[in-house]
Amino acid sequence: MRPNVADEARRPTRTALLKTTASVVAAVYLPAIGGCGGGTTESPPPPPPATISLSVSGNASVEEAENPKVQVNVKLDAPARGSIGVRLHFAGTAERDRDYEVGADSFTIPNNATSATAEVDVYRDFEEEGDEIIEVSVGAFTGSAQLGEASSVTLTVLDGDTATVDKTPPLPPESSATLLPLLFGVTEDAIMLVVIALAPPDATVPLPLVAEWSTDIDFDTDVHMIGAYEIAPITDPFDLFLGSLRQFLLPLADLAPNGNYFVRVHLGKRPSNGLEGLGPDVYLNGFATSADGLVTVRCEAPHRTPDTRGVDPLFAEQWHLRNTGQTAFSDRGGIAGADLRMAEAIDAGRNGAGVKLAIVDTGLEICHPDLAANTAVGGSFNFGFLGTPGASPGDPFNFSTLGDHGTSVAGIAAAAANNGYGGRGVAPEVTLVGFNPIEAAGDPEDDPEAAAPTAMLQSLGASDRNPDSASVDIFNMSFGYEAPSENSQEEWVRLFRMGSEQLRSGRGALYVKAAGNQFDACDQVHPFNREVGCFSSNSDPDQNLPWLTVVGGFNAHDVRSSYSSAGANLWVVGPSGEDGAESPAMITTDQAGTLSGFSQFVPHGLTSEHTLNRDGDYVSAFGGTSSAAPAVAGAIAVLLDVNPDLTWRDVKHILANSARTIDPDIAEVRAAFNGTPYVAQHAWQANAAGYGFHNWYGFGAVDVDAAVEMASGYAPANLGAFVESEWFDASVDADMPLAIPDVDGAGISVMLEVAGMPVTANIEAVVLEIAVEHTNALDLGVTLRSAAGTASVVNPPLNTLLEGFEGMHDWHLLSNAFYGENPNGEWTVHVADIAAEDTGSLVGWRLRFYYGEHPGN
Amino acid sequence: MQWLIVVVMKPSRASVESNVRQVFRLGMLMVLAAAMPIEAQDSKDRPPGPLELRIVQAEGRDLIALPSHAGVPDLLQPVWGGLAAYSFEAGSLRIHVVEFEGQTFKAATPLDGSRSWIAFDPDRRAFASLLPSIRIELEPRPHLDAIASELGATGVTVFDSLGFAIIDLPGDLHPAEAVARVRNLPGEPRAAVRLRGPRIEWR
Repeated sequence: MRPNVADEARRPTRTALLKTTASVVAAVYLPAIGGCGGGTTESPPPPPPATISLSVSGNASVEEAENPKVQVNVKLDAPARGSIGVRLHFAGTAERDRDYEVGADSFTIPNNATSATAEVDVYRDFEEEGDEIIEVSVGAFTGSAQLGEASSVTLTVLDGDTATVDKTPPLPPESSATLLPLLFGVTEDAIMLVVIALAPPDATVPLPLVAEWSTDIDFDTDVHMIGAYEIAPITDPFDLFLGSLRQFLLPLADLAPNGNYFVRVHLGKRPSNGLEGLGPDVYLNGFATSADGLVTVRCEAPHRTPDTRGVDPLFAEQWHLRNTGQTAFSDRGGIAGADLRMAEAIDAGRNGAGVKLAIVDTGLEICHPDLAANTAVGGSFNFGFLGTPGASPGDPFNFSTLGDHGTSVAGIAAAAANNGYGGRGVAPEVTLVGFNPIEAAGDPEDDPEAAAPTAMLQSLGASDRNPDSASVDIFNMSFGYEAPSENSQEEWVRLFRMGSEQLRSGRGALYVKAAGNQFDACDQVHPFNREVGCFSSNSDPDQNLPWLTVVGGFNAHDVRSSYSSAGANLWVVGPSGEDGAESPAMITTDQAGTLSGFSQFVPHGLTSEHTLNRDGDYVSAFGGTSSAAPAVAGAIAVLLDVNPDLTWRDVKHILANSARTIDPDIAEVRAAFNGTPYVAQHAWQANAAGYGFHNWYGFGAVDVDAAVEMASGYAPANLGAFVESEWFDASVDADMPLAIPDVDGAGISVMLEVAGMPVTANIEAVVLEIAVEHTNALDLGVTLRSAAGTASVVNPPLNTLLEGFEGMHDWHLLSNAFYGENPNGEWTVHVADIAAEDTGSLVGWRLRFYYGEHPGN
Repeated sequence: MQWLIVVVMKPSRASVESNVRQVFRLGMLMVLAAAMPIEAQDSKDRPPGPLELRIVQAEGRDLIALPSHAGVPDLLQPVWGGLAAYSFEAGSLRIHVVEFEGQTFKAATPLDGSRSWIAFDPDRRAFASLLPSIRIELEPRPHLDAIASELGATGVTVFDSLGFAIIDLPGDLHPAEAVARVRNLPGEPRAAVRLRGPRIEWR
C-alpha cells in the first residue's frame, strides 16, 4: 500500500493524494477494528487522520551569505496513529544541490509523534543570481494523515555579495621614488648611512637624494645637510628594479655630546616636515651621543626613583595579566577575563624563577630599570660588537633611538615585579638573556646577511659560549618570514631537532615563535580573506616544523587580534591586543628615556606626559604576534618553575590540554563553487582524541592557572618516545597527476592507507608534503582529513603569498589538529581550485607523522 | 653597525604605526636578484660568449650555479634538460638570463662580492642567492684546518651538536668552487653550498 514515493513522475495531485490517503486509512484501521472481537456492539468512530502542515523555524527569508541552515518542520495536529511517511517536494528558482542541499526529504513520523524536521542547507556562493525562492511542499505521504491548509512553505534566499578573485597585480613599488635603507651604522668618527635609491621608471630627469640631520625629529628646526647626490634615471631594459647605492657620512665632530639626533634621507621632492611626511621615499632614524661625544652604543643605567604609590604602577592597566575591562590607555576597554588567567599564579609567586629565557631579537636593554634585575650578568651577547666601535660583546644594545623591538618583547615576558617600576612580566623572576644575531657583521663592508644565518644558529641553542645559548630553557622568536612553497632549510631542521633532544639535559628547549601578522595583509581582498586571512601562518617555512610552539594572538575582547595570522600549524594563542589607540595593545617596556623608544611617537595614552610614564620607559601601543610569543614564553617559564622536569613535549601537551576555547561560536567558512560547497575553514571542532582546534586559535588561549594546576601533578616524560615516521606516499597507489577542476568546490580527493603504526600511537603533528603543478597557486585550498575523520585546512585558498606562484613544490604543511589521534587508517587529501582562469594538477603527496604514546590510551 | 630590519610590530594604527612603522617598512634590503618570468626574448638579443655552469646541490635539490665574476666571458649554453642560460655584464652588474620550460627568467647581481653568487633552481623555477660560506659535515670528522687552509677561509664555526661546521669564504671564491675543492681533499669531506634565505621580519 505504500505509494512509490521515489517516482516523481507519478506523484499524485493533491486531490488524488487525498483519495489515496483515505484508502490508506481504511487499510490501516479496518482490520484493527475487526480484530477487537467483532460482535454487534457499535464501535466508536475512528479518529480523524492527523493533519499535516509545514512551517519554518525562524525567518523564512534568509541571507545566503550566512550559509543558513533552515529547519522546515513537518507537524501533525495530533499524535500520529501508527507511523506516517512523508516526502517533501522542493521547487522554486533556487536549484537543489547547487544552491542548497536537503539532508533527507523522506522520513517517518513515528507512532504518537507529532513532528519531524528537514534541514535545508543553503549554500553561500559569490555568484550574481538575484534573490531566489525555495518552495517546499508535502509531496507524498503514507499513514493516517491528511494535508492541511499550510502544506507548503516558501523560503526566500537573499543573494549575497558577488566576488571574483582579483588577480590584477598590485602597482609595483617602483612606481614612485623609493629608498631602501641598507645600513645605519657607526664608525670610529661618523654615523654611516647607506641607501639604495630607486628612481621611478618614468623619471626623465635626475632626482635629488638628500641626507640631513637635526635635533628635531620633525625637522622643523635645526636642520643640517649631510650630503646630496643626483640620482639619474636608470635605463633598465630588463625591468630588474635596479637602484643606485649611495653612502652618507655624518662626522661625529659636528655633533655635541649628550645630544639626541635624527637623520633623514629623502629622494625626489622634499617631504613635508614632521612624521606625517614619511613615505617610501623618506628614511628616518635616530641616535644619541654620550658625554664623550661618541654615539651611545652601550646601555647606560638611568637614574630612576621607584614609584611609591604601588609595587607595579602599570600593572592595573596590563589587561593581558588581569583583564577587568580596563582601557589600557586606549579609547575603550576590553572584556573582563580576556587574559592569561593567571591570578592564582601571581598570588602564589609562580614567577619563572630558575628558568632561562632568551630573547632572540633586535637587541635588549639590559640596564632597563624594569629588566636589569632579571638579566643574567654576562649572559647576553651583542653580535654586532666587532663592527660597532665602543660596543660591548655582552651588551646587545640597540643604538637606534626609534624603539627597540627586543626590549619591548622582553618586558612582556620578563619585566620585574614589585619593584615600583612600570608593570610586570608574565614571568617576572625569569633569568633573561638577549641575542641580536641580525647584527652579526664584522665591519660596514661586510655583507649584512652573510653572517646572520650562522649567528642565528649560535643564538638558538647550538653554541655554548659567545654566546652561551645551549643553557637556555626557552627561546622567544618574535620574527619570521613568509615565502611561497618554501620549506625550512636543513640547518634549521637540524637545529630544532637537536634543541629538543639535547638541551635542558635532554628534556628539550622550548622554541616559541610568533605566528605572523599577515591576516589582513591583502592587496586585493576577497570575502574569504576576511575570514581565513591573507597569508597563512603555514607559509613561514620554519613554522612547518613540529619542534616549535607557534603562537597567534588574541585581543582584550577575547577574539583573534585583527592581524594575527591563522593556520593549522598554530599551537595556542597568547594576548597581543590591537592598536593601543581604539582598543588595548600591550603595555610593556620601551627603550628607557623620553627621547628614545616607541613611546615618543604615541600621540596620546601612555606618553611621557602621562604621570605613569614620566621617564618614557614604557609603551602602551606595542603589539603583533611578537607580543603574544613572549606572553606564552613567560607562561612556559612559569610552568617550568612549577615543574622543572617537564620536557618540551610535556609543556606543549599541558598547553594543549589546559587552553581555553575562545570565540566558541565562530562560524565555519564555506561557499559553493560550481554548485559544490567548499569549506575553507572549519569551525571549532573536537578531534577523535577530544582536542578542540581552530585555525585561528590552535588549541585555544593559554590559561596559566589551569596549566599550572596540570603541571603541578604532572609526571614528566610520560608521553612515550617521540617518533618521526617514514613518509607514507600516496603516489604509490594513486594515478597522478590528477587534474584539479577549475572553480569547483568538489576539487579532487585522493586517499592514502596508513598502516603498520603502533595502535597505541598518538599523533603530535602531521606534515603533508604536496606537489602541485598549477599556473597560479593562489587558487588552491588544501585540506587533509584523518583516518578518524578530522578535517584540517592546511593551506586555505587565496593565500595571498601564493599569488602568481606556480604550483606547490614538495611543500611541507603542518597540522596540529590531529593531536592525540592514531595515525592508522585512511587519510584523504582534498585539493580545490576556487578561482577562474588558472588550472593545474595534483602531482603527488605524502604524509609524515610525529607521534608518541600518551597516557590514558 | 646596525643592519636595518623590517619591524612589523603592529602598534597603533592611528599613531605609532603611521609613524614608526612607515619608517621601518623601508628597512628591507634590496634584493638584487630579481626574478620574473617574461616573454621569451628574441635570440638575436643574446650576447655570445662562453659560460661556465656548475651543478650544485642545496637543500636536497640540484641547482645551476651561474657565473658571477667580472670579466667572465658570455655565452649561451644548454646544460640541463631544456634549460639554457646566458650571462653578460651590463654596467656595474651582471645580467643572468635563464630559459626553462618556455619561460625566461632574469636576475642581476653585482660583479663582485658575496652578493654576486647566484644559482638557478629548476625545481622552483627561481633564482637563488648563495651565501659566501659552505657547510662541512663533521661525520666522518674532516680536517677542518686543512679545509680552511685550502679555501683561505675567513672564519670557521664548528657546531658539534648539529654535526656540521660553517666555513666562511673569501670574497673572490665562489661557493660552488669551494665545494668542489673540498670534495677533492683527502677523505672527500662532504660539503654543501648554503642558500641565502629571505630577510626576517620582526613580528
